[in-house]
Amino acid sequence: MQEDMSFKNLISLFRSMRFGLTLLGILGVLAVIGSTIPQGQSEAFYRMNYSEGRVRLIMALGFNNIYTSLYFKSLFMALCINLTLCSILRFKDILKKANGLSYSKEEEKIESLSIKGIEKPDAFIKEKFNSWGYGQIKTRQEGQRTVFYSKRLSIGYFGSWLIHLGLLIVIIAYSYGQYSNFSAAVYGIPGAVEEIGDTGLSAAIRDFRIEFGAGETINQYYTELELLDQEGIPVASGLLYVNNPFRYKGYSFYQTATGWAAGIKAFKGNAAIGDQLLYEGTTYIDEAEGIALQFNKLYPDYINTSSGMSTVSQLPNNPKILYSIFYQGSRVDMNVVSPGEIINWQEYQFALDNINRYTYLQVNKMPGKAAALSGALLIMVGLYFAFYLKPRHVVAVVEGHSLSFYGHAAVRGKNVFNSVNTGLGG
Amino acid sequence: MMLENQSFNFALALYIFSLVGYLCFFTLRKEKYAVYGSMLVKFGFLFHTLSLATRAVEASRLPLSNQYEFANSFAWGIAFSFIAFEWRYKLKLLGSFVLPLLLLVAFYAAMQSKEIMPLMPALQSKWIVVHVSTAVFSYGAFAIACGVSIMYIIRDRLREDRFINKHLPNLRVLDIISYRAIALGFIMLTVVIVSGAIWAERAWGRYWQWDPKETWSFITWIIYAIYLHVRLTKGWKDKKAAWFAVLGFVSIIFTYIGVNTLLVGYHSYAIFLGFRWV
Repeated sequence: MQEDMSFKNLISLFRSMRFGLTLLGILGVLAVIGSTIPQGQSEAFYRMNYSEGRVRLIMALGFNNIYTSLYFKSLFMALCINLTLCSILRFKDILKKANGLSYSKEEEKIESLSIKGIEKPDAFIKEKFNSWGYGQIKTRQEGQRTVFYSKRLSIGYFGSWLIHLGLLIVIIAYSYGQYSNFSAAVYGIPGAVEEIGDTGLSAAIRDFRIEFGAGETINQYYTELELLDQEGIPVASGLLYVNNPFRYKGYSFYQTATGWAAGIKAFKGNAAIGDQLLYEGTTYIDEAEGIALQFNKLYPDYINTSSGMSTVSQLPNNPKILYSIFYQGSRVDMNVVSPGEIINWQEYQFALDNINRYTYLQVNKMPGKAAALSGALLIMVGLYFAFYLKPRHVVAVVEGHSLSFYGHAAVRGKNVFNSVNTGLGG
Repeated sequence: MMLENQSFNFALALYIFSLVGYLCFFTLRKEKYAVYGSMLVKFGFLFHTLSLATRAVEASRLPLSNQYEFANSFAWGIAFSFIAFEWRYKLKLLGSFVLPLLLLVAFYAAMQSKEIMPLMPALQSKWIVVHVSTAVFSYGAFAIACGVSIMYIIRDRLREDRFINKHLPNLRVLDIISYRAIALGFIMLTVVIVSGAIWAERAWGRYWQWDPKETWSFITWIIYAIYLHVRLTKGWKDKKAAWFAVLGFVSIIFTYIGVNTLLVGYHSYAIFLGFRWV
């Protein structure tokens, strides 16, 4: 018996509005913290930017990865339980409310009159209801009383229920999507073929071009993509650009970023020791020789100003490459060169040439998108029902010679301040 | 450009004079000043609309794409909501509380670069119209709720003041007006978040990634969701709910101005990890 009571108490705690709001409040506070502390950075980053005490706090409480932390997920799970219990347990009551009749004689009284002089009371009541904008009339007997009633917009009762259900679907769909998400990146210059993770597919970048608008501003980035199966046979192809992803069997390819690439040739004396493609920000490393060259940055339209190196435009009118040479782990040289210009350092020579824009595509497969969208639509429909479809009714009670009217008789919108919608009632 | 600038400056000047009118009404307690204030704000709104329309023609798109354009449209949304609510509920004192919010946003717009730039690739989407225009009306409605809630708090503090009693509706009515503005704003905010998520999925590959703008929209949504629920709880329907409505608008302002200027994310369009993100 006592166990039953504790279980009931637990259920009633989990389904309560107060519990749901407390969870939302905590999630809100954590979201504020997460938005102000950069997420997903290394401990060294926080040490550079915060005091020792704050770093200890951030790392101890997991504020560096708040949105993937166990407690953040647990709070959402608890919210799901709250929404589920709230939705399931309230549904019967809502259905009863929508189908039944409940009115307050004290608060909803419209008028009372005698039916002595009225020849056909039923017709009189019908006429009255119609004048208030109510059509279908139902009757029921309550002891000595005959009750006539008509209802409008009962669907409004389902508003808050739909919102809660929609929110629950969105959270579950998002969680499932995060759990089963596939994500990879594909990048390269035109002609490159890259494997896409373990999907068995390869992406062949057939072309990449930038469309310039007025004043050399970038209008759009276009990648022509071909997907190949394990045998190298094309299975799909298409053009993708920002806001127009390419989709194939649940995988979506997004035009995400771009940068510069250059071919690097390395020599020791007259012997070639390396030849590869180098992307901006990456490093050519020859471990055997202990030498490395980093492609720091490319200035497509180079200009040297008093405030440093810069570019006049994004067009490769006067390209210069900023590089660094490392030997045995120490930086030994740093300079800018034109493409093709030989870089000499002791017995080594390097040449960076054939500069090209590369395209960077994000690939992902996130199940549950359609479910999340359905949940979002349910929330919006529910909000409309809750706020703008206020259930209304009129009731006529005939008892002896007395006829009393109750309910919402005023023409819609006229009794602005007489009633308030139930809103989101949880 | 000249017509746009002149119209905007005229609108700004008329809004300032309108606020002066409303403040005179509030302090000198003469009704004619409220009439002037109401008239001036309507003229200001006309010039404001002309300014936005001119920019739309010049840019060949709706002016919703950069800090200046959105701040300008946001101020227009507040003006539109104010005129609608003042007309609907005949609240003569509303201007004294809403026009400062309108001017705050309008001055912020005036401080931004007005240069018309071509749309960056990430903004070239049909979703921008739904996403940003609903934000304009949502924020406008929340500004009204904030103004009405401040009126509520003042009405509650000055219960015996005859002028306040005459020109401010009773607390219950103020609570209902604030509630209705928030209900409208909340629906719009939900559309903003959902349309933003759909757009983000098409542009960035994920419909929700806890970007600061998304996060702060979520925080604002939570604040107003709590407001809408606690109104149903005994003891919360009155002054506490009014404070919540004010807090919600503070969150709106931070979501709009604070996030764009103080926090780094996709909405600040920063250069990220050495790549030029598109």
